[in-house]
Amino acid sequence: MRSLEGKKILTFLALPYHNRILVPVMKLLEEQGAKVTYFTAAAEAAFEITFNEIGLPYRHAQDFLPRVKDQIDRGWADARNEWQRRLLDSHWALQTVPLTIQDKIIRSMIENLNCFRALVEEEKPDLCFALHELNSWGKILGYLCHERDIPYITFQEGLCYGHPFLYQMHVEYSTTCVCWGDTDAQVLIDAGGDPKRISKLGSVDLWPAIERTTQPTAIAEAKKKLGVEPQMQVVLFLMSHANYNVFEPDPLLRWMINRGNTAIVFKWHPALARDVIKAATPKLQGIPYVFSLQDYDTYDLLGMSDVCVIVGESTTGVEALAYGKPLIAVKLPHNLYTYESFGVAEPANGFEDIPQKIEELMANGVPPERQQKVEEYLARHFTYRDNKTAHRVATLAEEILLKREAKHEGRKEEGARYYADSHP
Amino acid sequence: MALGDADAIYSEKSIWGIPQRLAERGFEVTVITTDEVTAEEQKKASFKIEKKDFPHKYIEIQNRIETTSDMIVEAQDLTLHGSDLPLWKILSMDDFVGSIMLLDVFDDRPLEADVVVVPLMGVDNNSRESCALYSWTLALARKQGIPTVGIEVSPIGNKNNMGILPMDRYLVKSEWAKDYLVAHKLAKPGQVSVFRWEESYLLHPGRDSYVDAYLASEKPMRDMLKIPYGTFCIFLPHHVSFLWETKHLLAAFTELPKPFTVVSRIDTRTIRRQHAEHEIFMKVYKDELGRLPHVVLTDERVGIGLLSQLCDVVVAPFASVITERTMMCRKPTIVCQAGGEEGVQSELCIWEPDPQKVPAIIRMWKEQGVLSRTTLADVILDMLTPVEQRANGEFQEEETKTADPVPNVYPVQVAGE
Repeated sequence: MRSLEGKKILTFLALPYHNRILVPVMKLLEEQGAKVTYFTAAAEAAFEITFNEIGLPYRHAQDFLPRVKDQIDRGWADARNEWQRRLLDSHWALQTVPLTIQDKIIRSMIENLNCFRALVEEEKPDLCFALHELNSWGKILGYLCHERDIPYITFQEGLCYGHPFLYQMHVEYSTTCVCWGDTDAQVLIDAGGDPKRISKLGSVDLWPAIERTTQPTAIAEAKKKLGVEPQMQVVLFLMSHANYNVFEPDPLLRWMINRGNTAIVFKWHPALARDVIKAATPKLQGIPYVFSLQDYDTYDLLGMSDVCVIVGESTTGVEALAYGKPLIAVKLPHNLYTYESFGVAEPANGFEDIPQKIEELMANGVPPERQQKVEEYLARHFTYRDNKTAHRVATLAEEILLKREAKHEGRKEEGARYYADSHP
Repeated sequence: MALGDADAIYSEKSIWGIPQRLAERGFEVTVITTDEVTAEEQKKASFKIEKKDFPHKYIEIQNRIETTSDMIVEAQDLTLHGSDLPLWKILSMDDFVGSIMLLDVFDDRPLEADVVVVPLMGVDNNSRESCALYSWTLALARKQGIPTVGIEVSPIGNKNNMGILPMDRYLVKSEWAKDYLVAHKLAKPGQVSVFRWEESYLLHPGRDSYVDAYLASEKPMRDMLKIPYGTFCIFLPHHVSFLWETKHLLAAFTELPKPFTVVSRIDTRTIRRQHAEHEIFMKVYKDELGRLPHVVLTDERVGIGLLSQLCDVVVAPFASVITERTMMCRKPTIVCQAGGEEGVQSELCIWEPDPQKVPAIIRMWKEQGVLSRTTLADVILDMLTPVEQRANGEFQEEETKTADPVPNVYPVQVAGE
């Protein structure tokens, strides 16, 4: 008999990168006999697309709305009235977010609390998963698990480049929060996370992606798909989520044209508004071998790239280093995290000096002392650098489930003994 | 009045007619706006316009954290209904901290107003600037103890109704919206009034030359006909083919609670035997006219379209362009034709062949609130009038003085008289 036969797992999915981390783990748990139910909730970011693109069946929190309408109506009226009063009397603190945005956020919280509760009551899961408990969906699911003593596994999947304040509640309701390695774990612990509930297991998707996208055939295929000649060198700009002014890329474009045999790819953060990109890049339009991509597999691009330029704060910088790519870093105003401060990237100011830095890296490669720093940096960030993290997470989940079962069995026996003792 | 760019866009600028109408009614109006206003528009306006900016600027993480901390303090004791889950715990780390857009843009200032008018915010139509303007204005009014009126622009009814902030009075565009506010405990019935169609038109997108003409002519028309604002009026279109109906309708109207005004219109070109239409009107209905509190008779100098919009209810002995248009502008309409049709044509158009039954229909509409539609100016006047001096509505029963044989007929001279 498989070890998880009869066990039910409920997993919240939202954006495509949630899939990359959670689906491989779920597949392993299903192989062990667990029944996995995926679910999602209403969002302007259209989480439904995530499921449709990979053909994954899912349940939707809003399907439960009719069942919990009365609770929502009561909860909403209470919250709305009180929030309105406080908003008007708060002396501006609560007005800093436009009210119509708060309206949508708070209403959806109340709907989700009640709908998730109805879903959890119906599914009766033995274990729940979500990418993290930072957003409202993950936090609500965490609370419901906590209330019902259901184990809850989350992830800090990505570089912790934000302000420490933002990591304060990452490990609140999670039975365990899986993270890459020492660096992220320390950020979570410094922000108040319980070290006993943080598991350093490596990255679920990065190393499998490196294996998949760095094979010569994969690179050739990716270049062909993009329309880049096989012999061309590729400079990949990894554009973080930020507000961009209009690009003045003339020095870069002149360099590219003079050099020849070079393609430039701008890969934009998936959450960045398209109009920001459009406004920033009028001078990049229509130039051969200059690509501006948003909805595209970053790993395919990393695999084919020869030099990467990280612009602003983004996990893609550490991923480029994991791919072994030379990295140039452009700091944006207000950035707290910079790769050059760790000695792992060549700093650049902008389009004026980037061509020269790329040329040097292409000609001479990464200097050995920097290579050493990159190695140390990666070692601090990744406890494991292999493609077994999904297995490690699945094993951890199995242990948690078996431990819980043993605990319940213990309780049952204890109850039976108590009953026998009190009813001789 | 706060007037946000979002509502100017929604109404295709028509909302600017609202302060215009208040000014026409004699109010001194200041509009604080985030809408684009040219110097010429500002100069031409019959009210004061103040442009308010809420500049967009980059908010640093430290400021975001401090503001989020302030929010947590403000919300620390709030939990979600049916749980002990603090609201701030879900709100703070992702949604609130990431959505802060309005830092250091609000200032304390005196509003120097007797009443503040603010559109109700809708989730379907809004902007950062409009939201800021409305919540800021209301917070100031609340702090300074100034009464407030909320007006519906974006349609009420969505489940997201936090933008319907607490105010003293509300003016909405439909009975549906009124019922919604009451049902969702956003307001008590006495706090909510429904706009007259002609004014709510200013809060819809799209233009209609018929209503535009009325809005441009209402004041001179009222002055000419000597029908003050707030007068409850019944429009009874006249036609010499339907004398029996008109006579019995006028008689039936005497059963209605007073005061009210009956407005009718004749065509000076119509002559039957030796009688011009106005003579027919005066002679045939002599007895009935004498028993009515106020009758205004006019001629083709005032269009039927204008009259039907001026009045609160239309009672017509015949279907015509009038009844066609009244249905389009949601004017309660009764068609009363002896031996004619009986039944409901649409929500607000009833065919009733028996004139005796017409008052009951009007009473029914009154009870349903259909005839209580009003204007912003009248709501404000009501708010500013001490309670003991307030009327109880347009159908307030009052003792009328003994009627003259033909009271108040012909305030307007018929051409050729």
